[in-house]
Amino acid sequence: MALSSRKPIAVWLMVCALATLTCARAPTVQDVRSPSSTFDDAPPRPGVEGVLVFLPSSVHTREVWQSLRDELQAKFDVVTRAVSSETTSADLLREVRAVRPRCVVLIGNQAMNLYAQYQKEEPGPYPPAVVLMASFFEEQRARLANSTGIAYEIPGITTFVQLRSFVYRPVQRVGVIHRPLFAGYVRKQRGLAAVEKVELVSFEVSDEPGPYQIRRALDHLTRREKVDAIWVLNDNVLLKPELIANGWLRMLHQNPIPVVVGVSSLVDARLHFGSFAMLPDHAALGLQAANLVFKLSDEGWNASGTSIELPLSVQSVVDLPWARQRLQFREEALDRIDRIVQ
Amino acid sequence: MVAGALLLCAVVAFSQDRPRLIVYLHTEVKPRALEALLARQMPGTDVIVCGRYRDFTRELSTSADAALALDPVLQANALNTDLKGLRGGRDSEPYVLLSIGGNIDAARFSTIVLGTVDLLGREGTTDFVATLLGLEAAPEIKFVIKSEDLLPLLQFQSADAVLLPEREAIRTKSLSKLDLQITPLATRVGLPAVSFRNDTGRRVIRPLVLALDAETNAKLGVDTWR
Repeated sequence: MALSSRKPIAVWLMVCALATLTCARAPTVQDVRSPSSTFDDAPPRPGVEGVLVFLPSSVHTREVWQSLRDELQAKFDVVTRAVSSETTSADLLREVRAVRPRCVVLIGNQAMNLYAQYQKEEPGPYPPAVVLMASFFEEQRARLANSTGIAYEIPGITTFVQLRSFVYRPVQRVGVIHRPLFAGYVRKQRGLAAVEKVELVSFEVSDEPGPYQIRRALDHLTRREKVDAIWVLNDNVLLKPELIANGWLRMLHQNPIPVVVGVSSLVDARLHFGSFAMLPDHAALGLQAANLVFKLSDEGWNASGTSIELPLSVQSVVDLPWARQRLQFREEALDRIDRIVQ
Repeated sequence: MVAGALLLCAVVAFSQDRPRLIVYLHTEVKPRALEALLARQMPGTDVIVCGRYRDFTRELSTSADAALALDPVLQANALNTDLKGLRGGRDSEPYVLLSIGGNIDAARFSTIVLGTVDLLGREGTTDFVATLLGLEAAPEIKFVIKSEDLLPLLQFQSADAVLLPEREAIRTKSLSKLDLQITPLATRVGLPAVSFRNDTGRRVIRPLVLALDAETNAKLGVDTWR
């Protein structure tokens, strides 16, 4: 049953709890810690080139690392070093000097930032770097010499095509609310979505929007633009508890349409905010990163000349009661959804 | 706490006694859903559905009584084909290339960038692709972990074409508004098949596979078993 505005305190408490989870799981911040921070590397083999991996220890980074290691280990020695808040760029320098890797893989914002600092402090040449799980890497690539990688954000086009296969209602026009900072990103996504004949309708709010701006933006998108669905960007500023409770939910509960989020904790059968979530598939991301390392190997290790790739694989989540009651959900889609919330 | 430990031991012992069927198939059905469906149809059997080749080979190395996978996957692991899946009376299916805007001329096969599911591990899949394309050496390959990831390769123009079973290509076309074109390939690929690794597999699992209902078989990509 949907939470209504008659229970504002309950909504507020739930949103606060979810927002805490959201912050813990969003790509922009570090993931949930795993109990173990050790990574088991195979012993080095003479004459085999090394790939040096820097990563924080978390459930998701471990999943990426396992898949990456499984793919690479036949041809390369994979050497893994965990980074933490205590790690410094000098630590990275020491590891790079000791391992002398053919390629470096940087997983997460922290590893990328440390490596950027290392490059600032040390003259090159630098081994090619492959960056994964870093927020908006396309916008940050210029900070790293000889680098390439895979964007972490799930492209709208992937989200919309999946959504189209989950609901009977048409998905031709999708609304998105964004801050000025994300205007370039939204423009790129609009071009990509057009490939699949989906029109991305955007509404720009201020840098620090209040609940009223969110409600006004949603009102414009749903009533005036008559969009078929809403796509929620992984922008923590737009997902503050106050904005969810007094902005997003007030409008979305009045006029239910599919809402796709990028954080699984926002799909909640009590709150009914995200009706679907599309999340990175971390095992697939590891495989895609391995593809990239092999491509660099085949093409002479020139990372700067290699385009940043978009993530190919997603995991999907559905708020099943809401989708069934309000969104013309296709029952046969249940077989194709990774996680069902009810 | 002691009671909990005893219960856990009992559960482990119980599950170790149950026959185990390892399934590795790339279908549109998620492993979670396929596992639940098969478990309902095969009471008393532990059904483990793997989404990746590496997981399949690891599970095989444990005490599996039977394996269900595409025939080439069974062959690559030196497993006998004891039960063949049939669709439309045949035990194999056509594979195709799917590309945007036009067909792929066979003369270009060796120079394209091709997307494919990592069916048999990196090396095995490379050989599999070369065989299907009728080439000595495979073209550049982009591996993906599941068949639904092939469409993004085309959408992002990361591959010139993707390789997949014809029926999967038809389904992919139905999901997309791209101008997707099919290039048929001459070589057919074996449908799902079952290998029984011991008497338990033959005695317990075989009749359960033969008794699977039409809906389950359809999700496995077959009509019947022989």
